[in-house]
Amino acid sequence: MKKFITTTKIKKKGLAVIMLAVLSAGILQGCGSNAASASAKGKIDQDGVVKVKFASGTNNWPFCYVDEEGNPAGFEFDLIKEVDNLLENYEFDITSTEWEDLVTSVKLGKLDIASWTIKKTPEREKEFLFADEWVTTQKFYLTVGANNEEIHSTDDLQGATVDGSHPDEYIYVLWDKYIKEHPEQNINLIASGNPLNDAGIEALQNGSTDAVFMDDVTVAGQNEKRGKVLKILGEPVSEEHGFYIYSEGNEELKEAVDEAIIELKENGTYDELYDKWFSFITDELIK
Amino acid sequence: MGKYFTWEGFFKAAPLIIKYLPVTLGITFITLGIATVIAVLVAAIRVYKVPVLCGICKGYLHIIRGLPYVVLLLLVYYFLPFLVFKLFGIDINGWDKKVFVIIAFVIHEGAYIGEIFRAAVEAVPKLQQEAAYSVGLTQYQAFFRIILPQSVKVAIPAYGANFVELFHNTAITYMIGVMDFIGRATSLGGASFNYIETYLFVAVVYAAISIAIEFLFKYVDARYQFGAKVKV
Repeated sequence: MKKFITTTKIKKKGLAVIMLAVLSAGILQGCGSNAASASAKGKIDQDGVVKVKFASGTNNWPFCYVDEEGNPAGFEFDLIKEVDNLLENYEFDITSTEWEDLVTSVKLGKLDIASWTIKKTPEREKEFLFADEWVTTQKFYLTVGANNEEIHSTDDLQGATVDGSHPDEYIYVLWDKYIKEHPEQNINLIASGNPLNDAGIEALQNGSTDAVFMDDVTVAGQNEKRGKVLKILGEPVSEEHGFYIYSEGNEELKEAVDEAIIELKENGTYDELYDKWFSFITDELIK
Repeated sequence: MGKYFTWEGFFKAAPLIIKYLPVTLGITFITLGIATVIAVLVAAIRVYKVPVLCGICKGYLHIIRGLPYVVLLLLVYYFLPFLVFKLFGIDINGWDKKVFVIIAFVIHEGAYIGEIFRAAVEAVPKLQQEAAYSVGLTQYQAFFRIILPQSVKVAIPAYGANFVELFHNTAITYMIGVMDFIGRATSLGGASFNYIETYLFVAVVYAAISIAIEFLFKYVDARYQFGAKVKV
């Protein structure tokens, strides 16, 4: 009898769990269709101004970071402020957040527009509405520790250990592609999570990691802040643009912002901002 | 390590990060306050086996205790707005992120502290309750005058440990972009590349506050020794 009661209890619990799962799945399924309506998108105030939520990153100097006063700062934020100045019908609420939150919030409609040197990939274009007009440019180079005298080009990567940072990241994709094209070099690709933190830089210095693909801005930033710890080799292996991404249903906003970016490039404002944040990059600093 | 760590970087980062400690402490204390109230209710329902509610509480405890903090936080932050919108037509996406953090932590802590309270009440021998009834106390009087004071004594060490754990767990709030103590340290590390200095400072502050909380609860525990000499 006791066994029967226990079995019945287990069955009831199991049924309850299944019902809960079905209910949750039902609600979650509904989420997608309600994403647009539940977001802040399209909130129009009394003057007809559309409120737009924008975010960029917190820890990618000089693109986007948090300054000493705790405010969002960097090229990305300055650029969107100029866009905001141009677009009278829109008012941008500008914040900073972490990468995972940035992309998830755009996907769910918690943010209307986001930027963090986001490159276009076929997978990402299926998930997000990408801008047509680019906002950042990065040239990626083969990069080694400043004291490395053994590697002078990709020809010297035989048996090398290289750091792709994280499988989600663009530089990992670059390495993956390179290794598939050069299987004879037996390159060992690792994903340390962040080749630019202290441990990552130390690894490049002491040779436990041989090389990374890095953009010139990042290399210059590292050398500017830490002293000469990295150097780039040869010509860029890739040049990539970063784009704004938009949450679903923001086509009109996308068109307006794209036009504003074109205007900022044409009237010289974009170049002024670029010089403000990136003119510290010199050949001496990165080679 | 010399070039990766400088005391100059440490002391430069310290005042910039410490300004955000009140955010972390605020989240911790508000969570603890609300969660304690919920925990008392959960424990009372479980101890007195209130029909229907007892089953709901059991389900709540089973589910929440099976979820890591970070999963619960992400669910509350990303899923709750949709749920509220679907059920009530209210858009809560614009709420301060800290509100979502506190909701998630309260849900989590309500379950954990509720179990601490339930175990503490059940640790008081049944004879105490029966003795209270035998001298004419009602169930209400027996609980508040006899059972509760003794169970508080039992609950203090575990409650203190939970407090410290909650304080540590608030470190994940930066994941959703809340600029708290850890969030500021992370962003500052990213801007200055002084990762070791910023995280070392964070570690020192976390350790100092955790030790202070532990001592506070040891002191309170000792005070509850009823006649025994206070020794901390």
